[in-house]
Amino acid sequence: MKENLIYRTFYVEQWLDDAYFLQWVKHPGQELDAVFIPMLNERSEVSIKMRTAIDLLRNMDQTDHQLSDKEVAEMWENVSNRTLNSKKLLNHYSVWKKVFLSGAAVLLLAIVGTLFIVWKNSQQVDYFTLAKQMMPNTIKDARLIIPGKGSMTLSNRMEVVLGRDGKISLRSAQGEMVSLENSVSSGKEMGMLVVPAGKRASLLLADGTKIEVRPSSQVIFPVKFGEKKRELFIQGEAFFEVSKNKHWPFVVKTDRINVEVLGTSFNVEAYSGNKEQSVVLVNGSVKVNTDGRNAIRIHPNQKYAFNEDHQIETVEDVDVNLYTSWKEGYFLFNSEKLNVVLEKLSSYYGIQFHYQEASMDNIRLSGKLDLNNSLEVALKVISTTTPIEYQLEKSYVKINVRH
Amino acid sequence: MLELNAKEQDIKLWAAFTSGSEKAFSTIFNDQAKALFRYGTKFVTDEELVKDCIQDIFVKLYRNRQNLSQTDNIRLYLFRALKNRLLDEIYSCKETISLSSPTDFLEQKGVEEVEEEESWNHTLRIRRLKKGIETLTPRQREAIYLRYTMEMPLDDISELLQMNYQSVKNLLHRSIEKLRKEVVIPFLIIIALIY
Repeated sequence: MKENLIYRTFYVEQWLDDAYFLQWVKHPGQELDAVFIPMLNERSEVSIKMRTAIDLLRNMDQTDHQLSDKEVAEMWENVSNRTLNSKKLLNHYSVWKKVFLSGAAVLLLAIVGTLFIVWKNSQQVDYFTLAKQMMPNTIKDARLIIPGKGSMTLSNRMEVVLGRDGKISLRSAQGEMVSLENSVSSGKEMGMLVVPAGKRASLLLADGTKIEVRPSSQVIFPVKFGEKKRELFIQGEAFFEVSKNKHWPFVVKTDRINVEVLGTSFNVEAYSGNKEQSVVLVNGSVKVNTDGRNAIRIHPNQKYAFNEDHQIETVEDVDVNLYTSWKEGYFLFNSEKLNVVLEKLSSYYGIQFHYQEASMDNIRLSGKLDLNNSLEVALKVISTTTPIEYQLEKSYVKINVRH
Repeated sequence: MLELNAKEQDIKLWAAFTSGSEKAFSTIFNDQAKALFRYGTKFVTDEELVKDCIQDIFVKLYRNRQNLSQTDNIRLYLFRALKNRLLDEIYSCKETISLSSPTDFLEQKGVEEVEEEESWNHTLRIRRLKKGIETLTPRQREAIYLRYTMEMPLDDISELLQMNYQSVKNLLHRSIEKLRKEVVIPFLIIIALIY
């Protein structure tokens, strides 16, 4: 312990450098009280410096960001779900069979029943009718639906993995893998992967093809591909990395377009409300035909688009990153019209925008928008670079152009 | 004496965790989460990112628990892990993470209303202190937090900051000096007015 005399010469910095003083301020106790309290109660230079030091020390914490007990509890919940409870995850997925029997599955049975019959009889699946029965934006979490099995709710960014034997497994975003009991199929069933706004999911097919499905989209696929061709249906948007096999063509259908592939990666955009459907090719080569027209072959870095209003097909050279960046978690824009940007945000975050299209004719945006942020952050970023104001309402967002 | 005890406790708790005790795991999480969060927000203002990183660290620790080295200072161990993780995040996606900027402090905490007249003086000083802290560099803020809020020994701080003991001392000294100038001068003026 230092002599009181030395303390008398201390200036504020030195007080804060003194271990005894620090301990006393943080954890007062009799022994140290005896040393410091008398000095503190003097009306002198020393006590002013001490008080300043104490003041600094006590109030420094106030500038901190703090976690509430509730937040700590939530975080612990997440951590234990990913660690201690991951065995419980397994149990959760063996509920599969029960889901099928429960009342909630009645609607799904109907869909699945139709699907099964159509597939069996004609090998010509009426995907579109089917897709209409389960619109992505009527559900909260992504879902996998398999005939005769029922429906399974998927956590965000889960990957559905199809085995060669027809067995289905799920891999969580954290890498945990669970295989679904009783999922081995005869190979003739179709599956539906329905992804609502704000969620993502992917599909790894038995042939090695990988499909990243965007929010507000769905894919309908055979659990096992037919012998002649690999065919599936998409509504919304997805990115494909197709495994190469010359003798086993891969065909992606939308309600308008057929894309025939021989091993390649590309992006298909075919939202049900949009006037334009498109295919953007990253590498390889694909043939596209729409509504029975002549097939058009497109090359890497090209975009094929079909415009419903004008019934016109176009092929143009594009920067593919602009179309595929969403799967890396961001949108990339190059002098894009604001209303197009808002349309993309709308399907990604599942929220409606109210705005006057004419008012934003001349507003264009370039740059990178992080999709891991909340909608509000995204809007904030946009409103700092463009003259718009936004207003968050309960079920929609109002956008006004500043004048 | 007290410090030795704390070290022994940490060794025991950590050993229990690495050998598979779920209770030890949850104790460590609940003991450290708040401190880690406050520490993390010294580097990054995105609170959700800090939360995510903290969770990831614990998940990783749990998965690797059998291969972890011993420690007699759990807090230091975790602080180091969080800092590395956050710096990785910051460098890997520079465009999207906003680093702590001075104005965030002001916006987040707002200015508290002064309720009683006698606390006016005090509130004024806290306000000035907050302003003062904004003028510090992130490194100074980190050092101050570790030393005065976490009461971490200088040795541990020098390890986290990768600076030698004397440099840490100087860093703290300069930070306090800066803060004091923010707070004390106006305070003395007020005293002068009263007398």
